[in-house]
Amino acid sequence: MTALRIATLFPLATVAAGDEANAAALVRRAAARGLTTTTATVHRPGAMAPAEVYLLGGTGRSGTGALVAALWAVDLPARVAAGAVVLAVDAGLDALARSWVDPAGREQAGLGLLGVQVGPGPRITDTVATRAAGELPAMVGWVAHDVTTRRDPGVLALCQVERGQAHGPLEDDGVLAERIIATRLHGPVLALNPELADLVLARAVPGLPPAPVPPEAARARAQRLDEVRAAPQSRRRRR
Amino acid sequence: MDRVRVRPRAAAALAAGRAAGRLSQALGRGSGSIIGGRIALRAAPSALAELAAGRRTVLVTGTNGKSTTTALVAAALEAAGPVACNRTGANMPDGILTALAADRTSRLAAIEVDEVYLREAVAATAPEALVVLNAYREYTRGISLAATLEHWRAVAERLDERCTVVLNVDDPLVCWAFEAAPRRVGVAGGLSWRDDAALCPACGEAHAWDGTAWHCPGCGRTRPAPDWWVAPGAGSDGWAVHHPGGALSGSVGVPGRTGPVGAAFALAAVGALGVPAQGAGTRVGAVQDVDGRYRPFEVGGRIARLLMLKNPAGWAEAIAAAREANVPVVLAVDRFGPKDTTTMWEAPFSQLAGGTVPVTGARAADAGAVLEAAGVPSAEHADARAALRACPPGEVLVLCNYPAFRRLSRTLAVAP
Ligand SMILES: [Zn+2]
Repeated sequence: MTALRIATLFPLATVAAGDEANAAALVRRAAARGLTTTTATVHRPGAMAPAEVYLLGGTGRSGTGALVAALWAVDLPARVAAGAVVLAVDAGLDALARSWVDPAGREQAGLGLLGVQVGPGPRITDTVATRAAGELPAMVGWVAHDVTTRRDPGVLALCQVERGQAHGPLEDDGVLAERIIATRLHGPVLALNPELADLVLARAVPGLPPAPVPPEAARARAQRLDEVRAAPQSRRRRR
Repeated sequence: MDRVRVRPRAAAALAAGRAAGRLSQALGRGSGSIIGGRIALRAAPSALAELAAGRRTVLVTGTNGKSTTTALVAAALEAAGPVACNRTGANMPDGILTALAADRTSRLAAIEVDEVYLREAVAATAPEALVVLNAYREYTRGISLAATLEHWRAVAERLDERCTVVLNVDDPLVCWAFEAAPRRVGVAGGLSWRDDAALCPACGEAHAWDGTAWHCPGCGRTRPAPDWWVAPGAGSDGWAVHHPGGALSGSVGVPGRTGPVGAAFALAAVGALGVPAQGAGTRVGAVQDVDGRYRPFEVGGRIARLLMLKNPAGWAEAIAAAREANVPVVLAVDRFGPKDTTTMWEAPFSQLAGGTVPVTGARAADAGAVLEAAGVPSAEHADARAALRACPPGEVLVLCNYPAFRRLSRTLAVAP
C-alpha cells in the first residue's frame, strides 16, 4: 500500500499560529485507520514535495503576498485540479481567495481557488465555538485577524459559529468545497477537533471507517467549549 | 556617588510617573512599574536617555532567555561596581525607565530589552555591548519574524562603533541581522529549534546543517567561528567557558544548558567592557535565582525547578534539558487567553515517552491531550504539590506556561 503524502506548504511565509501541528494531527487520524503516511514541510518552491494533502496556515496579512507567490510557483491550482486536497487556515484561506487585502489595505489577487473575497475588518482575537452539523461536532479554536470574509453565492461555509468572532460580525466560518477545506480557526484546529482531520482525510481517501476520538482530546475541547459558552456574549479578548 | 541627573522636565515626568505607579499599586494593578514608566515617558520622551546617560550599559535582547542572561550579565558586571538592572523582566521602554529611575547611582547597567523595542533602547542607552541571543517566531503579538529581523538590521547599520554586538553564531538569522555591526563577538549559544531558521534570510535558500554548523548553499554565508563556547567541565554539572584568553570552569545554579551558555554570553559581554573574566566568572557561577526563576522548591523530598515556556523553541529546550539530565518533568499549564497552549503542540513531547507525566493547572486537560498525541501517558493532579509527589524523590523540572509559572512561583514559596 502506498503511503498518503501530507505536505505543509511554506509555513515561514506567514506569522506563526501553531498550524504546523495540523500535519501530525492528520497523521494520528490516518494511523487510527491503519493508513500509513509521510509528511514533508516545504519551504521553497524549488523543493516542492508532491502530496495528496497540502496544509496551509499562519496568520496576519504581512506574509500572504509571499505565500500567494510561492503557491503560484508550485502551481497549486493544477495540483488541486489533479485531485489534491487542501486544508487552508486563516492566511492560507486568504491566499486561496479571489482577493485578499494587504497590510496597506490594498486589494490583491489571490489564487482564486475559493469563491471568497477577503476585505479589511476590525481586529479580533477570540475563542470560537462552532455548531455541530453533518459529520462535524461542535468544534473549538481561536481566531486572530483583522479581515472580513465574503463568500460568493452558492459557496458553502464549513460551519456555523455559536460563540466568538469568526469572520467578524458574521455567524459562520470557513469554506467547504470539494477539494478544499478552509477555516479561520487556529488551535491547532485539527489537533483540537479530530473530526475535522477526518473530513480532510476522507476527501483524499474515501470510505474511511470511523475511529474513536481520544478521550484526552475530547476532554480538552469540551472544557474550552464550556468556557466559551459560559462567557458573556459580547466579551472580546485582546490577546 | 553622584546621582544620574535629569533635566527639570524629565524630573517632573518621573515624579508624575512615580505617583501614577503608587496609585496603580494601591489599586492592585500589578507592580506599578509599567504604568509609572509609561506616564513618565509620555511626559518626557527624553527621560530614558537622560536616566541612561553616563552609565556603561549592556543590552540583552532575543526571543528566549533574556531575563536569565541579563541576570548573569548583571552578576558579571558587579565585579566592576554596582549595577542597575530591570530584574523583574519589565523589558519595554517604560519598564526600563522605571528600573533606571529606581537606581540613579549605579554607573553600570544590565538591561533586558524586548526585541521589538531594540531601536528605542539602543538610541536611549548607547550601549557598550549588545547581546543578541536568538530569533524565534513569536505567537502572542502577531509580529512577523521577518519584520523583527529587518528592524534589527536597521539597528545594526546605525550602531555606534564603540558598541560590541555579542551574538549567537549558531543562529543564522541573528548573524544576518547584525552583519553590518561594526564590532562583533561570537558566542556558540546553541539553537534549540531550527524550524524557524530553515531559510537563509539573505537569499531564500535552505540552510544546510552539520551539527551546530550552518551553511547557505545559495549565497555562501556560513557560521562564524565562535570567540566563546561552552564545553563540559569537571563534576557532574560542571561546565567550562572557553574564550581567546583561556577557559573558566565552575557550575551554575541555572539548570540545563541555559546556565553555562548564559554565562558565556555574560562573560563575553562584560569582556567587551574590559571587566576581567576571572572575577566575573566567580560571580556568574554564584547566581542561583533569577527573579524567582530557578529557585528550587522542596516538596516532600522533591527538588522542583520551574521553567517558563512561551514558544516551541522554549518547550523543545526544556524537554531536551530534562532528557539530558535524566530528570522527571511535571507539566503545569494555566488558562491564559485563546492561545494559551497553542505553542505546546509543535514541541517534541514524544521524547518524554517511557513514563507517566504528571500534569496540573487549569489547562491540565490540554497538557494531557498534547501528551496523548505524542504517545505519552499523563496523570492529572489537583495541585502542583501532588503532581510533584507523583515523581520519584530528587530533582524535578516543572515545565510551565506563563500564568502557571507566576502562580507556582508564589504558591510553592509558602509552606502548605
Ligand atoms: Zn543565502
